[in-house]
Amino acid sequence: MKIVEVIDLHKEYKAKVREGFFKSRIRNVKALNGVNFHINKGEIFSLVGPNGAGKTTTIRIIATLLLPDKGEAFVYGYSVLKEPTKVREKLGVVLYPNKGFYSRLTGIENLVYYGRLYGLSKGEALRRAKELVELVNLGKDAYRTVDEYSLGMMAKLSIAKCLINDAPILLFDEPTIGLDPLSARKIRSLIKELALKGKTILLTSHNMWEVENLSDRVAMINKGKIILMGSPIEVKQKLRLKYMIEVEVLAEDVKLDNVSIGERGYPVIKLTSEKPTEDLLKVVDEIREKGYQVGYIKIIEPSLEEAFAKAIEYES
Amino acid sequence: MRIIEQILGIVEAEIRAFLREVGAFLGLSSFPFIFSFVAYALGSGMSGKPADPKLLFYQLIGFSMFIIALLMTFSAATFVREGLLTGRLEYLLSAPIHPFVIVVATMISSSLLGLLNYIIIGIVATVLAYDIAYILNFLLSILILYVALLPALGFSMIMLAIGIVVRETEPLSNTIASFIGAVSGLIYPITLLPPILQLIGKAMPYHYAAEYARATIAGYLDLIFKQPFFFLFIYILAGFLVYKYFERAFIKKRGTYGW
Repeated sequence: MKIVEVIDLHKEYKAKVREGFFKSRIRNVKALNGVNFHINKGEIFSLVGPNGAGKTTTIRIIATLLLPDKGEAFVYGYSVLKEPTKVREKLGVVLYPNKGFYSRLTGIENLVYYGRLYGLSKGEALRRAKELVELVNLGKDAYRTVDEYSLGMMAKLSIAKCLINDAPILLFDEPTIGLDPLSARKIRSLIKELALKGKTILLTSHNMWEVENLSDRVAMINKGKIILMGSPIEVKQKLRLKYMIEVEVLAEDVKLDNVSIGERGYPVIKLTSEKPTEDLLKVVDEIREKGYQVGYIKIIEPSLEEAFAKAIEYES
Repeated sequence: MRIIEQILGIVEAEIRAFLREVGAFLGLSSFPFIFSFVAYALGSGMSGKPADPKLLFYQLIGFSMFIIALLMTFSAATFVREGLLTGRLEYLLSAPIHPFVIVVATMISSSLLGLLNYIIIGIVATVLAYDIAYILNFLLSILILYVALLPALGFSMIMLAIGIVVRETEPLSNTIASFIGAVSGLIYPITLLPPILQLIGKAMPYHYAAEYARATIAGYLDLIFKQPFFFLFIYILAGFLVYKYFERAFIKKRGTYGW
């Protein structure tokens, strides 16, 4: 079931370019150039792309903060152009992991404030806020004022904020940017937990490892256009990325191809392959035929980062 | 009832946040005292004899009303500015809320802060210049003051319109605030001004609000009905129209749903 549908989105910005103290000219920047995708119910869908590719613009259009020049987007069947209020009711949004709060209010007070913006009574908002601070593991820190928060705590509070209205669809725009590895890990596990609870998630990130581990489907966007889309495995297959095979041979003098000396001092056969199982069996058979013993075998999958780099390279 | 919850949510958050900024609140409360005592002392010094305590009252009430008027006029514009800097505005606009609700809520919160200030200063001023027996009059003046300042909602919307277009509202609001303070007869009688400035001052709601409040405290309630303040409600309509015009222009230019 399509929960979010984006059809042929176009968006152009006018950027002012200063050419002197008084002189300036307007430059048109094409942020989106016909973006199409959909997100299914309960799915984690990621948008990845270089800076300025159009990820944030897409999220802002879906969040009803920006109007597209052309095209349309639907959330739960509601048009972002014609029914923005209905769309907003269905969305929880994280636009920044470290901004958006009253610094002099506590985490709980900020959550109550946002809850009331969605029409919750004070009591309801407080009850929900207390549940959420437990969910995101803020604990007693929720009762400290936000100006004392670390970046990781702010990121957790942002996620709690986006859940305050119990929206079925969550938009996360680079939720782990600037976070230390431990905090980023906690945020990732939270996102995964939310998906398991049936939330539909649209995520943007520069962290390819994160995207690969979290997403059901990925869309690569460059210069306002989606250049590749599918599950992380499908994306890699589409680009015919090669696997790396490493086989250590427990012998001193080895007469085989592609051999180098490994970290443990034994010869290691290294080769790249599109069909790793077949090629690995061939290599192992060859080693056995020659009477050698196998030390270890490693098959290294191509990463999404490689896929991303290759896709961008093809595109340009 | 969603709108009520939204207004209450914004008002509560704004007031809590402001009251926790102890320095800002103390500054706001001490400002009328400092300026009115300085003016009173200068007046006494220049005339060579102690000035009438009613002049001190005049100044104290004038300054505190000046603060309320300014808070009400610039609340929405300041809220937008703050919201842009802190990222709160985008989160606010991604919630199902109408911008007009934000204008009303910010105006209520800032006028409540002004009210707190006015109560503290007004009680001191009334007791100093008149007598404790005038306290009831003072309490009635609060109601009169707020009704008379309702047209400031129109000014607030105009300031918001300017705020969403130019973004940097502070220099502009400081200039306008100084002008309002100068021509409205808040801290000195409007009759001391040249006729043209008197005319401008009387065409804005602030002068009447100050005069009504002072007259109510002194026990001259009948004055209220001699002033054309109902006419000033036109400001709300005008403010709304100006706001809508600028909002539309902004949306067209920036391609956003709202600010």
